Parts: sequence; structure tokens; C-alpha cells
Amino acid sequence: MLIQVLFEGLVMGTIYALIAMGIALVWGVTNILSFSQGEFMMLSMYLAFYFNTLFGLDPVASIPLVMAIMFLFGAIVYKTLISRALKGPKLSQRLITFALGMVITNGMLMTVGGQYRSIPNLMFQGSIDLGFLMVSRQKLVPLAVSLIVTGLLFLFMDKTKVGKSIRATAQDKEAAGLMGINTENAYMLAFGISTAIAGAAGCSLTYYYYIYPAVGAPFLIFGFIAVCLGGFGNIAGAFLGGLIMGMVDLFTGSYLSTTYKYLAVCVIFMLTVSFKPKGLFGR
Amino acid sequence: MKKLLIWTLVITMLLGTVGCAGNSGSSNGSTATPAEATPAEAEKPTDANAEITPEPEVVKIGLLFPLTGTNTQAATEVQYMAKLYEDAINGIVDINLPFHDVEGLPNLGGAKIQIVLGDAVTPDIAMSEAERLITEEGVIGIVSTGSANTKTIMVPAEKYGCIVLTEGTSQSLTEAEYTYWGRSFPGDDSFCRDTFAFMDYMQKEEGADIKNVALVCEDTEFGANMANTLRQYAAEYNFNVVEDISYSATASNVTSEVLRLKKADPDCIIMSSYIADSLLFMSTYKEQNYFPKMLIGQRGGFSASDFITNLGDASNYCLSTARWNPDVSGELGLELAALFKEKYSGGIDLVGDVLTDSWNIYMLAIIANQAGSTDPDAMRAAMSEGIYVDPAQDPTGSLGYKYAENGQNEETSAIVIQMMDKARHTVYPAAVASTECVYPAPNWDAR
Repeated sequence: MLIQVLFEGLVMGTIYALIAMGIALVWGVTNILSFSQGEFMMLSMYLAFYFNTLFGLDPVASIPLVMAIMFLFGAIVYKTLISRALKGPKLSQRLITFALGMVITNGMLMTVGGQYRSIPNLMFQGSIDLGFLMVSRQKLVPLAVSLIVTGLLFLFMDKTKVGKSIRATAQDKEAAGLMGINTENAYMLAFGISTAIAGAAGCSLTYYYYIYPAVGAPFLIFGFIAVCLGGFGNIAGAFLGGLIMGMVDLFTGSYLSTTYKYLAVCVIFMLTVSFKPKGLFGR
Repeated sequence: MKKLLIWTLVITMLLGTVGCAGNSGSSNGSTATPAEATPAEAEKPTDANAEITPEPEVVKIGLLFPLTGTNTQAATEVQYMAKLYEDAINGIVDINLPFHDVEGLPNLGGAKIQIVLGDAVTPDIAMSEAERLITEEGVIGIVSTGSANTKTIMVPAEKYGCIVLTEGTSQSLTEAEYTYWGRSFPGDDSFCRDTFAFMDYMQKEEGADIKNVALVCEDTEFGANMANTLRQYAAEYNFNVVEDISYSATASNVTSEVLRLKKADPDCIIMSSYIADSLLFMSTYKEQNYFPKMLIGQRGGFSASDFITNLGDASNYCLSTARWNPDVSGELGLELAALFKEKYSGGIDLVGDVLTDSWNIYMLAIIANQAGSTDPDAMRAAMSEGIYVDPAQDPTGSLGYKYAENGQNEETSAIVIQMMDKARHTVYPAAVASTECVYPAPNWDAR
């Protein structure tokens, strides 16, 4: 069972990490808390569902398309909503995405209803029984997507000019502006990339989770805790925070009690914040 | 210019809000007009010599279900059913239900019924909506669901005197000594007892080897109460509880729960889950290539239409306690299910919980008609004496309706259904079973 728990913890952790990285990216660059990250993921799940229903696209195949749509959506949200909130008081900036999340969830409830949906006939189905480990092909999808997206994100932020400009803006907006970086564009790109990451998370989650308007909420909370664990503004920290949470979730539930698994996650979070307020890898 | 535009928008929104509040008292719009006499306009009589109010032209019945939030699907289906009943009583649709051959309630001067909606997304909101329905809409009774919601709804109901019929199954409701509350179908106690009676029957009559059970219950009022009652009956029927899992209904995964179940390997798993978590458990069972010899749900998600819709053949062999199934109530039940599916629900099948939750709307109309009054005390007295419903016109197949002092209908019992080939079949009690229970359930790789 130990190896099974390790594997499952890794899978869950990478899913939390995807959500957390999106939140960390937005916070690190714009100082906005993306309370609507879970809802962006939910929208992506519905996009994947409708692409499958209308065009027969498997969720894995629709990842690039959904990410592109979500990137554009994020950019529009930034331009029409977030950029204006940034000119207002701090409280408005903190709460704007919370309100956006409520609008998205209730909007979806009104338009598509509360019916639970799933995608039948997935490309990867079934399990591989290795004897000591049962590997679900469906769970391999979010694991693989998470690792690929994480790798691409790091490459982008580290090796490309645009990524470096976003990092520079995150470090010091004024100085970045003086160096000729369009900081407004950098903010918009960061927000768009964050929603695109939620798009990848949503598509891969349709492989084993059911689609309904409130599906984002449980993941959002863990995303935030992962960001706090790893360190606000640190994408690598958020990734590791997600992995830690996945492991704590699975190990506590499997070996102690399922009743305490979320308690354990919160206790770890509280201890981290008490002894390392900026998170494990926060600056 | 910009400031003028903003102020114009703000004033327009304010005027619109005031206008809407003046026209509609409910989130979904009540159609009552000031000209129609409603029970709210009459003072609740405080003594026998109180002035007798004229019989109303319209009798309003409140329907308090989660219209927002995540559990709207069942509420949507209940609304469809409520519309069907409204049409049947008001003479718009012809099906052999009570009052179908007359328009309106004959003992109330032919009063038509009108369903007034309220949102019960959380217990707190349910309480304020109940107060609105009673004091502003003047409903003669309220139909709702869920034990947690029932407790808060009863606060204004007891204060103002209003009959509330809910299928909240918690034992705490029958222990609360409410004056105006009633439950028409079985509660947790009956469901749990009948679960173990079914397993006992399977052991003795069908030779099923069931000794060890696992309890898997979500951690809100529903699951917590079920867990307590299941433990009690497990001991009474001498079943060994090898795993007792409490989990969060909003969990992002149930992998550790399933790993523990796989390790414990019980003969039977008994689950108390809502729809999202029941679906998650089923997909996780499949991932882990694990399925017990017998899996019994305690309604909740297992009774929801989404369960079979989403799982398809993966729902095969799952059992669940239930209040009703189309195959227990003969032709009327089948006819009602067909009418619901074809004309009211847009193709969604009628499931037991939707029928039984919504049937309380009809019961309120029947109770008021039998009492010859919309006075809550008169209605409650009629409930205690016993409500007569012609069996040929009762789609629930209930044995009768006599509400004890604690609110429980004493003449009702549970059934056990098994899902097979995307349909639900009654398998217990033997007297009403339409088919035999398939046991043991094969594992996923053997299907």
C-alpha cells in the first residue's frame, strides 16, 4: 500500500500544484489574489466537455485549444476588470476576483444547470496492475499534463524575453518600466498565462472528476494553502507546496484517519506560517 | 459626463430594484396579485370564536428547495413534478391523481393551488425564505428537503403555525417534538433497519456470505446521523464493522478512503453520500479495480438521476434503499413516470426521491381538503386522525398516511432497489420485488 499511497499522493499533489502555480503567478506579478482560479478551471472543464460532445475531441487533444481560449479570456478579464481594480483601494483589488468567481459559478448554474456531467469514451482508460501498484491511466493524464505544463512554464519564465519581462515586473514594477518593459502588458500576460494553466488543469481533471459548476471550490482552497506553504510569489514553491499537500492528504487519510486528512493539511500550513511566515521558499 | 453616466446607471438600478421588489416577493416570482384572497390576509385564529375567513380562491403551497448552489438538479426535477401536480389539481392535465376529475380542492370551494418557490441553498437562507413564504406569501404549508434545512425552517413554522412536510430523514427531527412538522416516508431509522434486514434476508434466504461490513458516510448532518444509526443496527444484527469511514462531502479526492476499503475488504459497503462524492467514489473504485460483493447506498447520490446518467453500466449491481420505485406502484406509477419524462422534465427519468419529496405538495393539498380548512391546527388534527388517499390514485404505493405526534407517518416502509442496465429494480421486500437481487457483484475486470 505504501507505494500506492506515494503514487496517489504525487498525482493529487500535481493537480493542487497546477492550481497553486496559477495563483502564485498572478500574486507574484500583480499582487492580486486569484480567488476565481477554481472557476477558471471549472470553465475549462466545461469547454473540454463541449468540445468532446460537439466535435468528439478528447480532453487531452483539446488542451492546446482550451489553453488558448482561456489565455484570451484571462487577458480580457484583466483588461476589463482587474486593471481597473488595480487603480482602486487594496480591499477592492483583493475581492474583485472573489466576486468574479461567484458570477462565473452562478452564471454557469443559470446557463448550463446543476447537472453533473462526465466525458465518456476517454482516450486513456483502465488501470495497469503492476502487482505492487495499480496505475490508473486516467490519473496518469493529470500527472503528465501537470509536469509538462510546469516544465514549459519554467522554460518560458526563464529562457524567453517575455518571461523575463514578467519576472522583472514582478520584482520591481517601476524599475522594469524604466527599463522599457511594458508593465501593463506584463500584468495582462501573467493573468492570461494563469488562466491558461487553469485551462490545462481543467482539461486533465475531466479525466477522473465530474463536471459541475461548483467543482472549482475545493481545489481553490488547496491551491491557496499550497501557495502559502510554498511561498507567495514563488512558482517553484507553489509547485512543491502542492506536492506536499498531496502527500499529506493521502498519507494521513490512508494511515491515520480519513477524518483528519484535511486537518493535517491545515496543521502543516499553520506550523509553516508560524515558523516561516513567508512560506518554505518565500522571499 | 462620466459622472453623469454613472449616476444615471445607479439611479436606474435602484429604481429597477425597488420596482422588482414591489412586484415579486420570491426569487422566482410569485404570481399572486393583491386582488386575490390569500390565507396571509387572515389573522391566525387565537380562539374558537375567531372570525371565520372566506374560503380562498387560490391556496398557496411553498416549495423550499436549493434553487441556487450545487444541489440544484434534484430541486429542478422536483419543480417539474410540482408543476405536474399543480396542473393535475387545477384540472389542466388528466391523470388519475386525487382531484384530477374536478378543478381545484372541492372542500375548499374549488380553490386552485399555486406553488410558490423559495430558495433553500443553506439552512440560514431556508429559514428566512420560510418566514417570507409564511408571512408575505401566506402559504398553507411548506414542502422542503434535508434535515438541516428542516430544523431551521421549523423556527418560523412553529412560531407562526404552518404545516411543514419534509423528507429530512434524521432521527433528531422525530425527537424534536415539533407541532407542525410531518414526514410522509421513512426516516433514517427505518432505512438503516431495513438495510440490515435486507442483508439478513440475503444471508438466510439466498445464502449470501455477508459477515463484515464497512460504513462510509459523509460528515454533514445526513451522513453523521446515518453513521450512528447504522452502527447501532450493525450490532443488533451481528454484523462486524471492519471499517468506519467519515469523509468530507466536498473532498477533492477519496483515494485514501478507497485504499482503506480495499485493504479491509468487507463483504458489504454501506454508503451515505451525496451525488458528487458518490460519483467520485465509484470512479475511484474503478481506478483501483475494486468493488465489494455488495454495495448499498443510503439514497442521497445513489437515488439521483445523475448517478446512472453519468455512470451508465458502471452503476450496475449498486443497491440502494429507497422510498419508491416505478415498479412498486403499478400502472399509475409507470404512467406518472412517463408523463413526467415526456411532458415536464425534458427527458429526465423520474427517480424515487423526486417523487417522494414532491408528493408532499399533493399531501398538503389533500390534508387541507380533508380538514376543510387551511388553518394549521385543523390540518394537523387531520394528519393525526389519518389522511385518506385512494390507493388507485396514490403513485407512491404507500400503505397509508397517519402522522404520529412526533411527525412520522406510521404507515410507511422502505424498499431496496438494485441498478442494472441503466434502470432501477426493486429487489426487497420480496412481496414487492420485481426481480431478484444479483449477488455477488463481480469486480470491474470480470464485467
